[in-house]
Amino acid sequence: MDKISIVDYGVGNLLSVRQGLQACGAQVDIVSDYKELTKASKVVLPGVGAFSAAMENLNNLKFTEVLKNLANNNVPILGICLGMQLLFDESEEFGSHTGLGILAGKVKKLPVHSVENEKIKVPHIGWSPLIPSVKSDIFFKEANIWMQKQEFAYFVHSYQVIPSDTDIEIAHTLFGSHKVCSIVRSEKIFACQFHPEKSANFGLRVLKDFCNV
Amino acid sequence: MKNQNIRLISRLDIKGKNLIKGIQLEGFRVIGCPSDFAEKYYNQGADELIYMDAVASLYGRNHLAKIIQEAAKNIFIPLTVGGGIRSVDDATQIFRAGADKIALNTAAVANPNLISELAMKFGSQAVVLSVEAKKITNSHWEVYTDGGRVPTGLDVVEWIDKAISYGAGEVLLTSVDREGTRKGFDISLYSEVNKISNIPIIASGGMGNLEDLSEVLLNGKVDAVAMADALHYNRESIGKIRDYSKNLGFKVRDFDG
Repeated sequence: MDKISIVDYGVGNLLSVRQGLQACGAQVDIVSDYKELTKASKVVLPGVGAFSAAMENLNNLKFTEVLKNLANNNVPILGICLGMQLLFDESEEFGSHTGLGILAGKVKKLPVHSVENEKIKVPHIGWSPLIPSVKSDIFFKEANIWMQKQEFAYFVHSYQVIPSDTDIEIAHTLFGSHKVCSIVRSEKIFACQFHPEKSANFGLRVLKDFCNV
Repeated sequence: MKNQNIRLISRLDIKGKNLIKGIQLEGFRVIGCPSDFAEKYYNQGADELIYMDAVASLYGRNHLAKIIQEAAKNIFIPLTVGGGIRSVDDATQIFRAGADKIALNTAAVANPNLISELAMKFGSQAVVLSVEAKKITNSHWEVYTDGGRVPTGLDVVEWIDKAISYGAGEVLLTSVDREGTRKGFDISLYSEVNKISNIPIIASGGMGNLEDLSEVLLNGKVDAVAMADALHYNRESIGKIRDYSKNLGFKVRDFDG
């Protein structure tokens, strides 16, 4: 099993991601130096908080170019929550901000009214079922089997990704009856909007599958 | 709201190294070792855990970091930690121990800017406003701090409204009058606060039976319920509570153990 590098760019709780990966038997490095990251064989990009602050940190710490190069070289990357959103072209959170552009698409605010026009509270906090999208079978093997049962995962977010290529969407969930993209995969790039490290056994299954990619 | 997702949370009140439970936040009885109970609730399918240091605000101490560090190793659901967090440094230490959210009461009342500072640094989703409410009249509640002991003169609804504007991401609303009494939730408190809140409300205090739960979900319109007494004394299990909520028409996490 490859060692997994968690990108430490100064935001959020890296500990729970590390504990989750370790519970799956992985060796984990927390990487805060961009030169270290160039040698990574498998990367987790975690994140909570604001998009623009996170991108600023990635830029200042010189992680941006390294992450793009790793993606070009087919190094597996798993983006979690804000880490998923950062992989895309741009976000409208507090203005318009450029992302890593590893995946094509935009990050937009969650709707504050349901399809039935009732008030819904943002952030979306809580457990929601993952509904497999058309190409769900190209996600991780084991996790995909679980997903056919519409496993619940823990979400905390105010923004969502809108991929340009809808074929990369593996699963979505419903928020006020709106479809919200929840897992994407494109080649070796994986990302989930929910927190696998906080999604009990299903989440650990996702992390374990990533360890085994 | 029909089809609404709700969360079932177990609340662990901590004093020193022990899990404790009081009545109206007083007269604590030792229940046992927090990690035993935390694991039990995790394995029963609790959606989240809330740890509250019951005496930290009073004595300015905090024992929670160690307990959280242990919990974070084998519990993979969100952990909220409150009690005695006074500064960005205190909060940072608790996040480093493995907390996903911190809950602020006394310190937020003393300095609302702390809510903003923490929301800027860790995101609003990580900042829970903890409010201890005491009923004054049928439509007026006062904010208390320091484990329900110190009146602040603040009106609960106005305070929550203000704290939301400072960047709080969730409200843990405890009824001091009902806490530990098993007399049911203070429904009008929750429905009043729900009118002004665009962030999730967690109800805490007073669940005696499953009918109380249905009241607070249907009429209090809360987004989550934190339970302590009902679980600690094995009056209900999370599994039973989950099935019950599902039958009421709420969306809850499927969990088959």
